[in-house]
Amino acid sequence: MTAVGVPEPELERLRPRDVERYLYQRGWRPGGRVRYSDRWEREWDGRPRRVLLPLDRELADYTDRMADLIGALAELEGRPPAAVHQDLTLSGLDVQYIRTMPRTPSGTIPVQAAVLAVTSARDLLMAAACDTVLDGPRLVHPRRKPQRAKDFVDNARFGPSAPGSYVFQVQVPLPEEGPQGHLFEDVPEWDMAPEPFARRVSRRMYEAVSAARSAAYDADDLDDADPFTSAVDEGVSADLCEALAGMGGHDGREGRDEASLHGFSLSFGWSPRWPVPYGSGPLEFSPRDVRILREGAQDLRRQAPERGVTIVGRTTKLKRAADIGPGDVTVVARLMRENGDLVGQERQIHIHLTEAEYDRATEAHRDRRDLRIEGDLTRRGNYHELTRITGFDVL
Amino acid sequence: MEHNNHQGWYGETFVAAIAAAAGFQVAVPYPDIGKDMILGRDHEDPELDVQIALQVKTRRIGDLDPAGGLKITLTIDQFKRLRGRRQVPCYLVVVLVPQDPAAYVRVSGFELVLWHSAYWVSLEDRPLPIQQGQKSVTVTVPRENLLTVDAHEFFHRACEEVPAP
Repeated sequence: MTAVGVPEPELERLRPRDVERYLYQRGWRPGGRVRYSDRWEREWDGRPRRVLLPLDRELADYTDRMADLIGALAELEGRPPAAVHQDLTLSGLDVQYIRTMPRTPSGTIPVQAAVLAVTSARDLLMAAACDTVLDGPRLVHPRRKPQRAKDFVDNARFGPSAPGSYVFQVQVPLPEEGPQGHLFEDVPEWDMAPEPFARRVSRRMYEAVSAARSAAYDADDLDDADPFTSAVDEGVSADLCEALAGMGGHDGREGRDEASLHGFSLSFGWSPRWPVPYGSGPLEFSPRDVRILREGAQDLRRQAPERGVTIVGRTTKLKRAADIGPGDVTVVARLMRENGDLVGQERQIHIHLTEAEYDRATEAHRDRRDLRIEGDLTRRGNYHELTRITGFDVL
Repeated sequence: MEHNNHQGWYGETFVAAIAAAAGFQVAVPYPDIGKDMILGRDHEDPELDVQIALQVKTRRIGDLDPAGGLKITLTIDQFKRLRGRRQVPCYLVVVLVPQDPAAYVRVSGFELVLWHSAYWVSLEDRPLPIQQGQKSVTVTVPRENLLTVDAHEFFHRACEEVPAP
């Protein structure tokens, strides 16, 4: 333990560049060099103040000098040294604060709700990471998660909880900046390396949660889940909505009323190592929003295509606007498993076919033969649609 | 006061008197791990706003063989706290004091004489001992490094600008 009460290994880990940013953002400006340190200066209460920032982590007294610096800042800012230290360590992280508002006394949360919130926090990270990795938006993310998204979630961690309601702190570490470039040159705040993946995910998460927030408003207003579907391009998915609903205490069981749910808010803290997204205030959700989010998730799941499905059935309708060219058919069909078994009920399935496929479908209709078609199956109200056709056979 | 404590306290005060005459403030670090005092100068000119840390040892005159410098044995831990590049340079100071505490100072109507003398050394560049399990290191404090009010190297080294690697 050092003079400021921060353990020595914690001081060893502090990076001079992060401390520079902390100082710069609080109005300190670099002065001259004193031995292995930069002197930083600013006026405080009408008096010139100066602190020394050691630049070389190999210095034998690096931790002592960091302790001096934290002690001086704590005294000037009127805060405990531990609070200053905490801010310095967070500068390499994007942080999400999940403030849950359960009905238990402030600073506590029912165990079951906490477990659900923790897994939901992980699921939210995964949803944002999948959305960043996958090519194009998805209503539902694949069950098998991309490795890069899994790695991202593995690197994230929970920080200490904070008083007030019950706050979960999720920390997303960002990589070190590249060696090139100097701070505070032309554009004083930022001389940035390309945005790292971890920041892209945090930013995508903010956009998606923000879009889910608006969709929940609109869905309540219209009494319709369509706004969630419209927000898919902004990163909203069934997975994301379920994760958010979980933070409000909705575990997906049927019949959860609003009295059993709780409100929550999400705030985003951004590492100063990269530009902070414009206007990222806290996003608040009421218990009513939690229920709407869950319904939105269900609706997205209903609409999501089943990928690589094989159907077998007979055409009941053939429609083509001209004598030649592609056309639309309706097939009454059942799903075929990989082993050849036909399963489930017969469904009406609409399919858009190429000219050659349409001609073959017409012949099959005339000869009373079945079609076997592979593609992605999506529910559309009271009918289904098969898209992205990858196989077409007349049996 | 027990003799050794008396001697240690007097040794630190002896150094503090010289530092005060050189225009330095003296602080006793808390906790005092590896350093007995910190000399600082809160100067109007920030370039001269410096600190130096000291570890002070005292020896009684006659207990040391002064030939070839003053040989002082440090534990490995003490040695490690003195070596290596530092923002605040850390010096070992050895104060030679009289055998008898009654002879520490002589006061008259026109002078105060402090007995006897202090010497300094920097261990910044000393390598760590190679031998495994070595418990102590003996260092030599040169007799020519007499601590005086205008010991330039000692007091001005803290002001120098050193390029960061």
